[in-house]
Amino acid sequence: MIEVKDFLNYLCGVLEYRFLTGIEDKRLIPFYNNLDSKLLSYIPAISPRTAISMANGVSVGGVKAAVILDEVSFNLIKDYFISPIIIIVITDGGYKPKEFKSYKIVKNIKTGLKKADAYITEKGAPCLVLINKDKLV
Amino acid sequence: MKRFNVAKNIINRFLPEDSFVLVYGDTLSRELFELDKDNILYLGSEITPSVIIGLAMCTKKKILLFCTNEDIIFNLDSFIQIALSKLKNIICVVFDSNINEDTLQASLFRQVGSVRGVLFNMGFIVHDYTNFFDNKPPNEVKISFNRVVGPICVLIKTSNGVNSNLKNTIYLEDNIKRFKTKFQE
Repeated sequence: MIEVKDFLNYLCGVLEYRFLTGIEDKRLIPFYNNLDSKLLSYIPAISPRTAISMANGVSVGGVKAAVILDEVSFNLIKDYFISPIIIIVITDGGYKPKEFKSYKIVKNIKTGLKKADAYITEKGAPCLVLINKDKLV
Repeated sequence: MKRFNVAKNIINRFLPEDSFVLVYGDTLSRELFELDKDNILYLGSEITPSVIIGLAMCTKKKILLFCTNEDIIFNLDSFIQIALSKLKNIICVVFDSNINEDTLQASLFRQVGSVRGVLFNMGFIVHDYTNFFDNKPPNEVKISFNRVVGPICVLIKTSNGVNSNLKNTIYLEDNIKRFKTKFQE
């Protein structure tokens, strides 16, 4: 199981992704319950397009940004321009988009996030972190 | 009043030097490319206007978004998000030419209602600067521009001033790299 609190602490506290956005979804309730304003700024987005654009803006402004989406929303925005940000995709399992580099987090939070962060820094491209919705606590 | 001239006046005369400008839409970007500066970012259809929220959160400097009335109707979600953000350094300059630039047909706003009404209902403070540019001295316009507190929409009715010498392509990634360097200085 993936503890959302540990996940956010590592993503925002250690890797310093200080901006988080995403559309509202009942599968993301564990995330909403663990948001800490001391660690990050969270802005709920109206649509996946606005979420990805806000994160793009923050990224251009020099702050590391992450977006939380479900796989249907992600499919809607993957043709848009995306700057080097982490896109956390909550999946039903078995989802693996070919267009972007992705890391699946099953148990070890740190390894997956660290690899995604290293990829973004090295390549200057967006990276996906895939999490199975049933594994979130 | 031609749209190009209004935009030129705003960028060169009325804006504080340290402010940033986002130009939204392919046609408007190509038209205003003649005014090119490091602090101008041209956004095509592969990105939405809500990128301004992210930028405005990272600075206290003023950020302007140039767009047309058609852009509002095609990006309602983004404009509602901008209005909800309550960020004080966002100014949206809306050029209202009553026409769709790409198809040259009448704007959809004619059937929906007035641009002003739609923006007001979203939660924007709307100022109509159409006559202001003609009647007031430049200094007064400059002071007024520096005083406005966002998120605000400045509505300017212009003629359909499409420039015939449009640049063909503006590469978003190159433009973003340049803008990013200037923004983070």
